[in-house]
Formats: sequence, structure tokens, C-alpha cells
Amino acid sequence: MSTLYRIFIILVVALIVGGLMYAAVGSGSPAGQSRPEFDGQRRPEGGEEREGGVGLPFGIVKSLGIMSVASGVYLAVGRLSAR
Amino acid sequence: MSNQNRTKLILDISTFAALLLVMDPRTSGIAVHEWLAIALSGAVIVHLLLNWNWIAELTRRIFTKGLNGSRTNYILNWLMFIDGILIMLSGIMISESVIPAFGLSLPMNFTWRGLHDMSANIAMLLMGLHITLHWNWIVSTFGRLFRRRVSNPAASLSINGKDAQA
Repeated sequence: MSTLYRIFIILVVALIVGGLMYAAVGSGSPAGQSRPEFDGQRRPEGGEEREGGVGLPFGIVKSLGIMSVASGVYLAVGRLSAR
Repeated sequence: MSNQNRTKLILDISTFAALLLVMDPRTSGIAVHEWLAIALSGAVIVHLLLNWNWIAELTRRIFTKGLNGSRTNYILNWLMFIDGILIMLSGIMISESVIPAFGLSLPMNFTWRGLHDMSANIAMLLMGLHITLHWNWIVSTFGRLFRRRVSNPAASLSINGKDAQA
């Protein structure tokens, strides 16, 4: 029962935060709320080739790179402030 | 090592691997990207439930003095949660697979596309910090899991014995 209650709390908080974001984006760009052509395959906002397949996993390399940089900066700042 | 720690570690490693795959839609394809991201949100909920006691305790004591490290961790986790919601919301708004599968269509808004990319990059930054802050726990738990299997030769002998009998 307590697990269901906790899941309920998580979902309610997510709904509140998501609702605020949706309202903020909606009120910030009223001109964007149009309905351009969408053929059911690719949305106009897409803008990049995303077909899948085997190749250099650039996204994974990029993600690991960003994480490594964040981690390195955090550790460097920690060491500098400890001196 | 407790069962909960083992469960946490296995869940976290699996979630991290899935996250890396989700972050590369060109490799995985858009359908896998979207459906796996939906599944990941479930994994995040389980992750939060497994760490609920820590969250609840720190929420109560957030303004107590002497909790600097935990407070940083707590704030970082909230930022990750909010960023995760932004990723999911913007992803749903530009969905090409999940939302059409339900026969729905959402209004176009190019802002969501930019927000989706930006929040995904921020998530990677925050994930890097999250892993750094928990690095000692990850290494020690992983080490205990590995040592436990190595230091229990009787179990492996019995398995070998079973194999021999079969």
C-alpha cells in the first residue's frame, strides 16, 4: 500500500512539474501552436536522420564525453577548493 | 551484501546502459528510442522507490546544518528529476512513434524540439555528476558482489559437480 502511495506521489509531482512546463512553453510561443503537415512518419520538428542501424554510435560517445567532462570538472573543482 | 543493494546495483547498471542506447536514436532507431525511453521512466520510478527512505529523510532534514554533501546530492537529484520530466514531455510532444501508435496527434511546436535536445544534454551533465557523487558506492558494491562470488568456491564446486553428474 505504501509503495502505491509513493508511486502516486512521484506521479503527482511529475504531473505538476510537467504541467507547469507545458503551460510555460504554450504561453511563451503562441505562434508555434499550429498544425503543419504531418504525414504520420516524420514530424517537421525532427530535422535529423534517425533511421537506426549499425554504425559509429556517435550519440553514445557524445553522452559518455559529456559525462566525463562533468565528472572531471566536478573533481577538479573539489580538489582545488580542498587545497 | 544485502539483496536490496544488489537489486539497486543491477537496476542502476541496466538503466545506465539503456540510457546510453536511448541517447543515440540514430543507432537505435526512433521507435526503440521512444519506447525504451518510456520503459526507462518506469525504471526511474523503481530507482526512486528503492531510495525512498533516503529521499524522505533528507526532505525532512534539508535545512539541518552539516548536511552539505547530502544537500548537494539532494538538489542534484531534484534537478535530474525535473530535467527528466522535461525530456519526457518534450519527447512526447515531438513523438513520431509512441503517440501515433495510440492514434493521437499533438500540436506542432518547434520549441519542444530545441527543449528536447537541450534537456538531453543537460541530463548527461547531471548524470556525470550523479555518477561521480556515487562512485564510491558503485565501486564498493560492485566489488562486494564480485568478491562474494569469488570467495564462495563451494557454490561453484557444487555447480560443477551437478554438471559432471548431468
